[in-house]
Amino acid sequence: MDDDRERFTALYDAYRMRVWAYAASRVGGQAADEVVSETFMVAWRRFGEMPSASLPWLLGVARNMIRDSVRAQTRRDSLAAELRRWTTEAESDVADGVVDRIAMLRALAALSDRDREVLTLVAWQGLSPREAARVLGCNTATLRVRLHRARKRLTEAMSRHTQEASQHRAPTIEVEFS
Amino acid sequence: MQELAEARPGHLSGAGRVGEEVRRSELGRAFSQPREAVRRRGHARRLVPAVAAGAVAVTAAVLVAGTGGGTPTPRRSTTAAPFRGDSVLLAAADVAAKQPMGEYWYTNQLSGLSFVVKGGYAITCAHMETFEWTAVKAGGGHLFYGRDLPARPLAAEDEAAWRKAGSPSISQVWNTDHYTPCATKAGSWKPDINHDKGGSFFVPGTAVELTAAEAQHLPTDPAKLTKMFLVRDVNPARAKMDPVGSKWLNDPAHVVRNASYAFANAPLPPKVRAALMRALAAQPGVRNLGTMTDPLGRRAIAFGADWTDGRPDRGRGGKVVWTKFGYTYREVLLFDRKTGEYLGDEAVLVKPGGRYRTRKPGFVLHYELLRGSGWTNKKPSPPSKLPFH
Repeated sequence: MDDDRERFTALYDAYRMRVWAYAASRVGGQAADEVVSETFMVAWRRFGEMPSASLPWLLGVARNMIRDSVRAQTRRDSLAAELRRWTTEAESDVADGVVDRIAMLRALAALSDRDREVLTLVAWQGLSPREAARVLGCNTATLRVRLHRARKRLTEAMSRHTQEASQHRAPTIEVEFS
Repeated sequence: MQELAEARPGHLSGAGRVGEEVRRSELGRAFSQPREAVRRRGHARRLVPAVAAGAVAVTAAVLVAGTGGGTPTPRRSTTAAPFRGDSVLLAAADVAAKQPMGEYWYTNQLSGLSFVVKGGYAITCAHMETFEWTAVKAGGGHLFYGRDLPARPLAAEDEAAWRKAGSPSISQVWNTDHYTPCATKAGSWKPDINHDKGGSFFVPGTAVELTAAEAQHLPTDPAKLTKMFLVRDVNPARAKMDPVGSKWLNDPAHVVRNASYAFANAPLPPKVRAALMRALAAQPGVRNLGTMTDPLGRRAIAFGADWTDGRPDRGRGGKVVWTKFGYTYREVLLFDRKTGEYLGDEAVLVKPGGRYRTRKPGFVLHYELLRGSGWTNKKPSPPSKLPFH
């Protein structure tokens, strides 16, 4: 195996699951597999131009792949299914704070794709605003503004869901896309 | 943000490792891609011609069929016999109507890429067989197995040339700018580690996910099937920004490839399959190609559409450039002549040139064949018998 292939394999081993987690949070688990596979195909083709900050670059490739190849309707449907799964999993979890987690996931599910994306890149993928900006193809200042607004809307959605819960109404999971 | 971070579902942690089978398959697909030359400032972007472009991208999903293998037969002869489409479709519907749904759906698929080696003959390498089953009920599970298949001469004339060269063992082939390894003997079946609950079928291409029940109740209206499985929605904003790439997404060969995903990945009831075949045949640019013989030696009726030479590629700043290959090929779907069952998908050379300048029209660039598929009531297991023997 030549050096590039070795480096690429190491990169794959290090980040494959991260890329999958990102894709699954955008389009659901099933579609994520295909997105990941296509992402690493592009990554190998363009390995020569991969920057040292390779994770944001890989996530950016995956993001373009999702935008270009997965229909909006399908994205919405498969993600709605995925969100139901997340909350079901959270409900079966006996750990402390499970109620908060469910409320949080439901609130997240009620946000637009655009808001959810920026929040999950930072909170779930652990990217810095600068790295998240690279994934989204915007500058860091714009990213911070988007993040600020998305957090505000998440807080609003949380309080809405808490109110609903206190009225004993089962909140429905709805996904909206901008 | 801390609270949100803590709410992250466990399976989205990005930790852990993927199953070995998926790992090998994904790395294999990646390495089968040609490398692009590094773009340097001040220089025009140079692109290494893409290999059988679409072919490789398809490798992910493979499928079905049930009919046995065969020895490599003389390659395809396209006959001019008129296609009795409806009679085949009706026969298909009739046969399939007799197969009740079971608790598990399985598909057994082969994929191979062709490479021209120094001796002037073609070898199928990156050759893999997969076996996948999915429980109809969610919670019943899903399992994917893979095994390597040894590299082999592609067609009878390639086999003759290979024998003449002393039947050399082929462990790697040159692929644009690097070597792609080939298995020299068949590997054993390896199940993938997976926690998938089953209960649904994912169709790449237009990215539809269906439960078995939903598949059974799909419409037979060609317009609805076309929208669901054949043609992609293109965001108007994107179409405006990237007219070349957007148009390409729905060119006839892409539509044919999308159809292959649906035939291979979803347990379509016979009437839906027949309706989807009709919908496909009615698409602009899709043609009846007569009768062909597939690499497993099965006689098949074929539908297909030609790719134009090249494909769009995103350059710096999102600008779309068109990369030519110097050859053209055709996306071809194969169906059993008697039963109408789906047999697979191949990419067939139309106009030799570029990396395929020494090949004749009809040369198979790559294939994804369904060796078997169907319903069972007990957990299916992969066949021990190798294909081609």
